[in-house]
Amino acid sequence: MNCRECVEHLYEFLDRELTPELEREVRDHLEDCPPCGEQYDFEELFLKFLRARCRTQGAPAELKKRVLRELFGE
Amino acid sequence: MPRIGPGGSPLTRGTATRPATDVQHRALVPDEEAQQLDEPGAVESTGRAVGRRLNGDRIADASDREPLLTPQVRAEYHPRGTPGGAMTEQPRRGMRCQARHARHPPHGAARGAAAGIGEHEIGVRPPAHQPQQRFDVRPLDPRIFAHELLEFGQLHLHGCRQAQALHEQFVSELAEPIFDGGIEILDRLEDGERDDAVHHGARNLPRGALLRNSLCLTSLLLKPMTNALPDLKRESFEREALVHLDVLYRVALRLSGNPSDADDLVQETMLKAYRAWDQYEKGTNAKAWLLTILRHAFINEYRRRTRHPETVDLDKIEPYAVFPEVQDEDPQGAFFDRIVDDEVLRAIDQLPVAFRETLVLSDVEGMSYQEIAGILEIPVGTVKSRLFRARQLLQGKLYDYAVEMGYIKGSPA
Repeated sequence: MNCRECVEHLYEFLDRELTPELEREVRDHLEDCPPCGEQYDFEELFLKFLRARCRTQGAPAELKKRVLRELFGE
Repeated sequence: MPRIGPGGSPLTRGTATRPATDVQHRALVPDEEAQQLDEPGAVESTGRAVGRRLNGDRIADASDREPLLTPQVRAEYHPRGTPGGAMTEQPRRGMRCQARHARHPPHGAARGAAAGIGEHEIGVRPPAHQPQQRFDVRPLDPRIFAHELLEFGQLHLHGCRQAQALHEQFVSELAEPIFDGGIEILDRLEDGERDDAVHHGARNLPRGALLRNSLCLTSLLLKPMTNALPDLKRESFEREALVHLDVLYRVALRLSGNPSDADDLVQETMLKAYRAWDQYEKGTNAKAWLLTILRHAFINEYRRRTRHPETVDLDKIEPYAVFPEVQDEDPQGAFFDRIVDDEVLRAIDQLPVAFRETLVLSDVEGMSYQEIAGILEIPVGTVKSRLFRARQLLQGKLYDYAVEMGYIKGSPA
């Protein structure tokens, strides 16, 4: 696997959506190629960052009450 | 149909843990009916596994179980281990039924009650290998009957794959409210299957244990079930659907763009979901199912409101890779850490809706490509490509913002 192919599959690799064979190929390449390894770290950090920033919010308590009231008349 | 349970009499447990249901059942089955069932001679003892239960992987023989209502049990109630491990800590059936007794002295006591659904029939010589026991009276508790009938139905269905799956799911999910679970599974079956299972149960109960009036039997079975449904529906809805309220709200907020619309969208989704709850295959993927409903609700509302729906040619959007830009200056992406929540959300909201929904489902809610493909009704390949471009696009926006704010030198593209 070359760098272009590796970068193409990087997201799927991070998402754990690759077939076992492809996953192995990407992993092998990442271990052998520092620049691709760096990009992997960068993309991984980005995804973690995204998740952390966007999940702080939940449904407001008022909405929960409203839904319960509507569904069960409470 | 069925109720199955990892050991123990479902009925006993169900009633022990749900007094309200118990009352309900009792109220639903008139005593005359119960007495009918008690008629002597209605049961022909078979001594075989009349009341079997599916217990994990094996079908336990009736001899594993406690006799139903023996005088001894009533007199000397104490928890006693059974080979099946069942009911050791639970109050026994006999405890409650004793009260019944007081009101309705059993007729034909010594000859054996109709309740034969259980294991040992009254007045019948127990199998040779068992210690001699005398069972005088065993009034039929209609609830027990219904429960046994369910078991037979389940036995029948057990051969089918679906029943197997339901059974496994049931055992893993609903170990405790067993009786309720039986009803719930019954509820999940298609009408045809349900009838089939009920009838099979009826046909295959030992003759004597059968009610002579099958109508009476059916009503016995169905009445408590029908009446128990609303509670079960609510219970399962709370357990499987309401727990996803936060997810729904976050997605609704990203789709609609403002809290008030998000509230309405979630509300509408929950109402629709509750109405359609019977169609949802319990224990599968409630989150994906709910999100599909939410998205449809959003699309309908969106179409209604806007005459000019978003017409972005996704193919013309050319995201660029940020990593090469920052590779030298900040390969660790430290600049991301300086960007606050609101800024990230704002950047997401600027993405075309097709990218936004894909990215939110994947990167915020952690759904798989397959799940996203199902919710958005697009091929998995499209999910991949949208996700790829959505991430690049978002990175680009955040990078530009970081440069603008001086978090990183770079040069805005």
